[in-house]
Parts: sequence; C-alpha cells; structure tokens
Amino acid sequence: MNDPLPANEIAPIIGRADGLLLTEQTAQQAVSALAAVAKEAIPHAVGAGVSLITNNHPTSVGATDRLVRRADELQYDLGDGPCLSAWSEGKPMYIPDTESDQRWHSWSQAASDATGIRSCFSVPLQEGPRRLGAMKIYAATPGAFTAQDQHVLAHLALSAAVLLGHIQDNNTPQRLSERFKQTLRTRDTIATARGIVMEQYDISEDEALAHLLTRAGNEGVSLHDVASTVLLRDGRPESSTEPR
Amino acid sequence: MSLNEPSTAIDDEQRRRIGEAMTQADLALPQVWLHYFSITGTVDEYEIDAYLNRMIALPPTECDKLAHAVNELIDDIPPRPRAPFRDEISP
Repeated sequence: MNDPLPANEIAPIIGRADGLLLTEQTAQQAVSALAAVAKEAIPHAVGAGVSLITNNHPTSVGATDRLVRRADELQYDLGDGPCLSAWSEGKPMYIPDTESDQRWHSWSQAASDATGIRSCFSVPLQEGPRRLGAMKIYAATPGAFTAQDQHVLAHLALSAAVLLGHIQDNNTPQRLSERFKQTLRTRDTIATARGIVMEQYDISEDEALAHLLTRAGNEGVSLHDVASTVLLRDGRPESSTEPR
Repeated sequence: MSLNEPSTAIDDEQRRRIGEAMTQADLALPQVWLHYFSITGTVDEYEIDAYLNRMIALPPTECDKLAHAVNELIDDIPPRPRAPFRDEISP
C-alpha cells in the first residue's frame, strides 16, 4: 500500500479494458496524426513532426514528410537547431528565413541546401516539469508562419505532450505490467470461481458472486482467497488444504 | 446501469456509507477502483466517481463489489501500534 498511487497506472488499465491501450505505438500514431493535422491546418507548412528527446538522444516521431526527417537528422547530427533549442530552453523558436538566420547558422544553411526549407517554427513539448522534445513545422517559403499558425502549433503540441508524456510515464513498464497482470489474474480467478459456483448451485452470475462475497465475509478472508479455494477444490477434489 | 430509476433509501444509505468508509480510511478512488476491478467490477472509475457523488445509480451487485473492495482495502491497513505492558518488553 505504499506504492505511489496508481494515477499513472489507472489510465493504461482503463485503456486496456477499453481496448485503447496507450502503448508507445498507439501514442506515436496519435502524435503522427497530430503532426498531419499541423501540416494541414497551417497553410504554408510543407511538413511537420515531433522530435522526442530521451536521455539526450533525439528521435523523430510522426514526421509527415521525408524532408522533415532529413531536416531533423541534420539537427541531430549537428547537435544544434531550432527544435533542440526549443527543447533545451523550453521556449518556442522561430526561423523566419533560413538563408539569413544567424542563430543556428550551420543547420539553417544545411537545411536550406538539402531540403529547401526556408522557415521553421518549433515549440517545446512539455508535460508538467518534464521537457519531452519539440514539435515543429517547416515551410519552403521565408516568413511563412503567422502568429495564428504559431498558436495552432502550440495547441497541438499540448496534446502531443500529453500523449507522449503518458508513454514516458510508463518508464516502469515492468512494475506496471506486473501490477496489471496481478490485477487481471485476481479478476480471472474470481470470475472462474464464480462460474464454478453458478454451475454447482445452478444460480445466476450475480447470485454466484453474492455467494462468494458472503463466504468471504463469513470466513473473514478476501474474495480472492475464497475464489482460490473454490478453484483448488474443483481442480483437486481431495485437496482440502489451505489455498496458497 | 440504471440511470433514471429513482434511488431508494437503501441505495442512498449504502452509497453514503461507502463514501464515508473511504474517507475515514483515507482511500483514494483510483486505488479503490483498481481493487474493485480486480474482484470483477465492471464499471469504469469515472462511473464509480459519479456514483459516489450521487449522480448515477449502480446495479446492486456492483455496489456490493465496491463495498467489498473498500472493506478488503480497509482490512489491509496495518493496525495502529499498541502500547505494551512492562512485562511485554524484553530486557
């Protein structure tokens, strides 16, 4: 009971129960969809994507176009660029024109040469105090992005951060899945016992559970213990030993 | 789940006392829901929340599962340390 409480574990469990498990894969698909929305919603954008930075190691997620991946890789190779700065400083970064940009000069030149990108806007992905990376849009024309566009991207980045923040929260997948498996095992044991009791006494599901609940109450043990006993007796009729 | 049926006095009493038991034992909803789920509870955490806040009614079986889940969690709480007599203290 001294586990930190399962706020972070509950969501995935509900998700699993609803068939909406937020795995890394589904979160990345959702982020890809957000990047696609960014590209579509922002008139001059030629590409959008997310740089996810874990342990100082950046990776691109949901890049809408090849040029996004190339421009991102240039940033990662150079160790410098607007997205890396957005991430490290926690502030939006804007390059109105890569050909005149001085701040990320090497990247701007390389990106402009290699991909034709002329402007870039990048916002940090922040979930609580944690900075997860940056979401960016690129355009092939200078000064392509209006304040309104920047607003749109900032909004999408909020959603992306929540999604990505959740998979990173599950950095303890072992513990999460162990707890989850235990919960499911218990549930399974009880459901199986309920089925056995239904058959034994020819009663309904609810009545069978009520029967088990009453037994747990009378014997002063948990429902799981009662259910385990039912299963033991069913599997090994000679066994009248304690469960566990 | 019966959303529109008027709740009976029994419903209200059970709901109130489940909530009170949780408060007294300092049990948080996520923890309670997880345990309720483990004993074959079928409704979501937010529905339990709505139930406890008297916004919806739940089927009697679910109410009893919830009550039982709360009780098992209360049983798991370590008892308060008791004060020993002198002769219970080994020198």
